Formats: sequence, structure tokens, C-alpha cells
Amino acid sequence: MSLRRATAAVFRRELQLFARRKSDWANPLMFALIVCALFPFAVGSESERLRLIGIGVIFVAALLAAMLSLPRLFDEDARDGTLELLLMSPEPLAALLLARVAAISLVLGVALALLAPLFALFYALPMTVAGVLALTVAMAVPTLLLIGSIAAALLVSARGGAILTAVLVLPLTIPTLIFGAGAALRVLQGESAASELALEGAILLLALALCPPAAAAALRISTD
Amino acid sequence: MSVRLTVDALAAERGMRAVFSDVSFAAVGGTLMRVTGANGAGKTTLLRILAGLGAAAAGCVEWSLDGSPLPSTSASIFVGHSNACHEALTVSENLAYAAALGGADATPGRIEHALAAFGVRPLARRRFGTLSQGQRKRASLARLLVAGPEDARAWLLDEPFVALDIDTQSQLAALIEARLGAGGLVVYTSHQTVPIRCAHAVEVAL
Amino acid sequence: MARSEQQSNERYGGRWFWRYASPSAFFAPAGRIETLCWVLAAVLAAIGLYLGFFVAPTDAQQGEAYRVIFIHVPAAWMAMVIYLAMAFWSLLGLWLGTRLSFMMSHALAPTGALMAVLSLWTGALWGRPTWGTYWVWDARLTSTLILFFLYVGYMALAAAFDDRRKGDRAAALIALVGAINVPIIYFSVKWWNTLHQGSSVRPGSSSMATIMLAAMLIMTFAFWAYSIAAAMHRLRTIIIEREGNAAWLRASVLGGKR
Repeated sequence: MSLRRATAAVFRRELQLFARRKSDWANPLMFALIVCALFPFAVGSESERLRLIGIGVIFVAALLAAMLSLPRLFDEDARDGTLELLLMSPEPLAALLLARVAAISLVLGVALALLAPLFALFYALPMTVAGVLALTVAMAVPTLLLIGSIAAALLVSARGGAILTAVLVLPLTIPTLIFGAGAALRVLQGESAASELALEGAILLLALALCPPAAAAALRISTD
Repeated sequence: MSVRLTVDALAAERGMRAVFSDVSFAAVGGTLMRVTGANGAGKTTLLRILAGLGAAAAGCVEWSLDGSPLPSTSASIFVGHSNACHEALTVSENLAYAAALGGADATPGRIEHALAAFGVRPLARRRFGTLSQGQRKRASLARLLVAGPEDARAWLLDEPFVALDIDTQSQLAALIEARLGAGGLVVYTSHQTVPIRCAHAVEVAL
Repeated sequence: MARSEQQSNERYGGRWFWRYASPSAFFAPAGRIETLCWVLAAVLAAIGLYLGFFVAPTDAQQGEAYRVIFIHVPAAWMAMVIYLAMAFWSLLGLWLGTRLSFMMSHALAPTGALMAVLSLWTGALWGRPTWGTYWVWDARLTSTLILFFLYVGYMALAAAFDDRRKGDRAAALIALVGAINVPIIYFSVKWWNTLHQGSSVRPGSSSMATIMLAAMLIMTFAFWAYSIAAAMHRLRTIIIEREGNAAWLRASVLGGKR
């Protein structure tokens, strides 16, 4: 009962903050949009060429946008002292962190997934591919945020901030990148993406099970 | 309900340097415990370890409620230097969040009551970021009361009187007295000497 | 939750494995292991390189270029093994709170990263004559590259904390997270590789003559010995750096007695 109340409070607070400070979700979306708009300038604007790189660019842009919002997880809390409320809660810290990542994933994951079809237009990708891309982005963003929550928790009290977060987190997101982009690629080639989607889902489930306890341990280490 | 705190041969380190070592004491509900020591003696460190926020280098801290052991984090409520409130949220939203994380159900009535105890009831719906420093401090101290009178957690207060005006200081002192009278345990650090009437006062010197 | 070293000491103090858990007790044995392993590494490498470069026959398909595998394969193996060892010491450190375990982890990381680089480098040197290009996105090469990233992340994180105790624990946790991820990454990269038609020629894929196998094994032991020696040397340096003020260290190092 009190666990549900505590996790609900964490979840609601995160949504309230997104509602009060629009830049928290608008900036990552703008970032992804701009990254996607940059590539045609670098490689040329022929549809054939764009279609070839489109899936990868859109996927990586979405991952980077989600990664840039990782400092939001704990940095501000550490500064204003609300982190201590989380740490001192009698409820399991892992569950509270999961609630928080879930709220951020809900906002950013859905927003980036909704934008993916728009980006697909930029890259002359057919609508079927855009649909799969939206689905895989919606799975990849929570995976990245879950893995990233460990790094963000560790870096609460360290120097190095965003760059070090990227160095720690990005290599660990390669599996979800492979299967997420792979699924869209399959559809582009007119094949079934079922196995890639299943594997990407499996990675998300694994991250759901393993990352919150690890992030809780990480937070205890860095705030000790 | 009686809280009991036992500290045995506690030692702490900060950045590989020993801060204090071999600190032992015990306290039961109704005790007012003041931690004293020079700057850097480890007062905040001790309070954080008692709260379960920091790890001890050696020794142990045991909390119990009516004889059954409690984890450090559920046994106490810690008010440190920061206000533990988010600037974009209102005062009552902040207090409700703190209460829910602490395991309590904070009804609007309770929150108003807690704010009234510190004379900041009209601020309930204001964004925390729009308050003055003194108002912030008072609003954040209201966190001690939102869980209600049946809350048995010990209060761990790190320099609670800093940045408070004389009136609020005596309000806080009165609340501490009431808490002690109801069988609560209060551990605090303070550079100021604010008179608190108490039947059982103990001093721990670091 | 994790204990502090002192709390573990109260619990395991008398046990056999605890005898060398403190930096002071392990400093001298580490020196002896270091010397032994340097000698072993030199002798084994001399034999292994002689066998590999002069005795082993020329490969029918790949000519002389294949001989780089006597360095490439052991380096790739060591890069993997050292990461596992690092994760093991990290786990032990987080569990028991022993300073020496974290120091072992830190001492291993640079050697592991070196092995990953060496394996990538020799892989490129081998790839040029064989595939006609220095780099291909082969599953093994790619995995090694990612392993190198993990080493770099570990070392960067350990260095990012002013409080050494936090840095130790934080880096240990990320080493464990990496160790859990390594197999997932490896299999997903393999999957990706088959999806995008990777190269089919791999170092050591042709059937191997006995003498080649012997040379490879001897070189592997040489790399083991080198890695242990280098790690022990670094461990002793870390001990001196961290415990420089301790009386035992002054007595044993400054007193002229090694």
C-alpha cells in the first residue's frame, strides 16, 4: 500500500515537472530533429542514399536525445536535497527509481516514437518502416534510460558529467541499437522483423529486471 | 511506542581520512541529544550515518522500535542543510511528495496543519522557487510534521536553527519540546544555543 | 548491503583467505610474484616467438602474414580474461569492502586495455594482406573494440572521483555491469555480423599444425605471465601511492629491505 503510494508519488512528480518545465522534453526532441536534419547536408540529398542511412541516423539521434536527458535523473535532486528523501524512504529504492525512469520513458519514449515517422519522411523511408521505427524507438528509449540510470547515479558526485555518461552508457546500448535498427532494416528489405523485435523486447525486459537494483546500489555508493 | 538508538564503536572516514572513531552511545525516546564539536569534527557525517545516508567505516548503528529492529532509513527523518524541496513545485506538492516517500499519507489537512505550525500556511500553493530564504526554511521544516502525531521516527536535525528568525527559532524549539514530551527522540547539531526544555538532555562531543 | 573492510575483518579475520587481504601483508608476496612472472614471461615469449616465427611452417593460404596470430590471439584472449578478473575483484571488493580487491581491479585495467589495443592493432596488420583493408566490422574485432570502450569507461570513472573510496566502488559497479553486458554484446554483434554478411576468413580458422598450436599456447602463457607481472607491479605502485604514510611501508621500502 505505502509502496504503491510512494512509487505513484515519484511517478506523478516527474510528470508534474515535465508539465511545468516544457524545455525538459522539448529540448531533447529539438535535438533529435536537428541531428536528423544535419545528415543530408553531409551526405547529399539523393533519396537512394538517404534511405540507406536513414534508419541508423534516426535511431542514433533518438538514443542521443534520450541520453542527454540523463543528468535530469539525479543532478537537480542532489542539488536541492530531494535526493535524500528518495534515499531515506523505507520503500525499496530500486522500485522508486523504476517509477522515475518509467515516467521519463513514458514522456520521452512516446514523444520520440511519435517523431520517428516524421524523421522517416526526411529520409524517404516508406511508412511501413516508419511504423516499425516508432515501435523500436519506443522500446530503445526506456532501455537506454534504464542502463543510463546506473551511470547517472554513479556520476551524481563525480566530475565529468555528460561526456563521461556517454562514454559509459553508449557502448552498453549497442545490442538495443543492433536489434532496433535491424528490425526496421528487415522491413525496408521486405522481410519479417519478428525475431529482431522479440530480441529487442527481451533486452528491454532484461534491463527492467537488472538495472533498477544496480542503479539503487550505484546511488548508495555515490551519495555515501 | 518507544524508539531506541544504540551506537557502538562507530568510526567514519571522509576521503580516506578518519573523521572520528570509537563513538558509542545509546538513547531512548524522550531524549534530546545534542552533537557538539568543532568544524570538521564530523557532526553532519555522524547524523548522515545515523540516518542511513552514509556508511560507517567501522562499528554499528542499531535502531529499534518497541524492541524490534528497524533499518536506519525508516527509523528517522533527516533535515539537513538543503531544503529538500523542488523549486518548480508548490509547497504542498513538495510536502506531499516527502510524506509519500516517508511512507505516510499526507492529507491536505495535515499539510496545512504542519505549515501552520511554522506560520507559513498561506504559502501552501506557492511555487517553492518564489519564496524568500526564511520562508523556504520554514516550509521545509514543516516536513517534520506532515506524517502526523503517530509517526514514531526520530528527528535528526543538522543545524536546524540556522537562517531562522528568533520567532521561528522558538517555534521550532517548542515543537521539539512537544515531540520529546510525546516520547520522540531528537538528535541535533547547533552552533547557536537555543533553549529547549527537556527532562533528559544528553550531549555527545566529537 | 556491502560491508566495510573492518566489519569483514571481524567476520573473516581468522580464515586462510583473509591472511593476504591487507595491502601490507600482500606487498612483499606481490613483489616475489612480480619477479617470477617477469622471468617466466621473458622465457616463454622467447620460446614462443622462436617457434612461431622460425619453426612453424608457412601457411598455404595466407603466407607469412598469418604469423601475427601468435600475438593477436593471445592478446585477444587476455583482453577478455582480464576483464573477467577485473569484474571478479570488483565483486569481491563490493562484497567485502577490501581495499586490496579494488586495487587489484585498478591494477588490471590498463593491462586489459593494452591487450585490447594490441589485439585490434595486430588484427589490422593481419587484415591488410588478408582482406585488403586494415579494418573490417568482423564480429570478433568489433567485440574487442567494444571491450576496449568498457576498459576506458572503467578507468575514466575511477578517475572522476575526488573521494577514492567512492571511485573504487563506482568503478567496481560499472565493471560488473560491463561483465554482465559482455556476453549480450558479443552475441548481438555476432547476430548483426551475419545479418550484414561479414567476412568468412578469420585468424586461426584453418586447421592448425601441432607446432603452430604449441607456439600459440606458449605465447598465451607468456601473455598470462606478462599480465600478472604488470598487474603486480602496478598494484605495488598503487599501494605505495595510497598507503604512503603507513609505518609498515616506510619500514619496508625506505628501510632498504624490499
